[in-house]
Amino acid sequence: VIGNGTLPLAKILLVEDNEMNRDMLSRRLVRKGYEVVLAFDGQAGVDMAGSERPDLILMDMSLPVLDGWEATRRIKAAPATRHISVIALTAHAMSGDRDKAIEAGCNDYDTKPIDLARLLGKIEALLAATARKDSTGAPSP
Amino acid sequence: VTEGDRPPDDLRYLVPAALLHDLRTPLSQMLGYSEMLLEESEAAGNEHFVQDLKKIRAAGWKLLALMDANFKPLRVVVLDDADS
Repeated sequence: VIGNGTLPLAKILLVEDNEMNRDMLSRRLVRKGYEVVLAFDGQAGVDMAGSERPDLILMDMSLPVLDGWEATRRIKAAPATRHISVIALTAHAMSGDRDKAIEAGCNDYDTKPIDLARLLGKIEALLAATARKDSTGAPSP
Repeated sequence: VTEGDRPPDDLRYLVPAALLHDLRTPLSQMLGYSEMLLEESEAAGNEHFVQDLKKIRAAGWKLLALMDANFKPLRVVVLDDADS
């Protein structure tokens, strides 16, 4: 049980090529009770979205092989993975970057450095919204 | 992209945007690891480390605020609680 105690343990796919960011954020999320699986580039992120079936994806945008924008487009285009919420994480902090992430299909956006309390709030809000849709039988977004 | 492809305003935008990204990446790591150690020290009841780590964290966020203030003409996105 995580966060406010109403949601079951969730699996998060963290797509991040920077080793220190990946290590730091995954350890902090595990400490908060999440199961975390890791992908090191955008193509691996797309592949693992299908094979791991995470509840939510944290997607870095500047990634090798396939960037985060294109990886998100492919995840949202695939029927098997389009329901998975994606939060864009980027050290890009210019005003147009948020719009670019949302246009690619991301459900939310946050900037680095990570404010963990703020990010956890976004994660829990998206997980709760997904849980509500599942319980009412509404189609996935 | 060549200089001739973009108006001067756009070219000025691209250079500091890349610089800001490059500055935020190591700062993100410094803040993240200091906050992780802070959480662990608080859990272990190590008050001496807690106080010092809070100073490191505060200095890091102050540096971020200074960076954002200096890049303000470029409309840096500043997220707050109301944003979530």
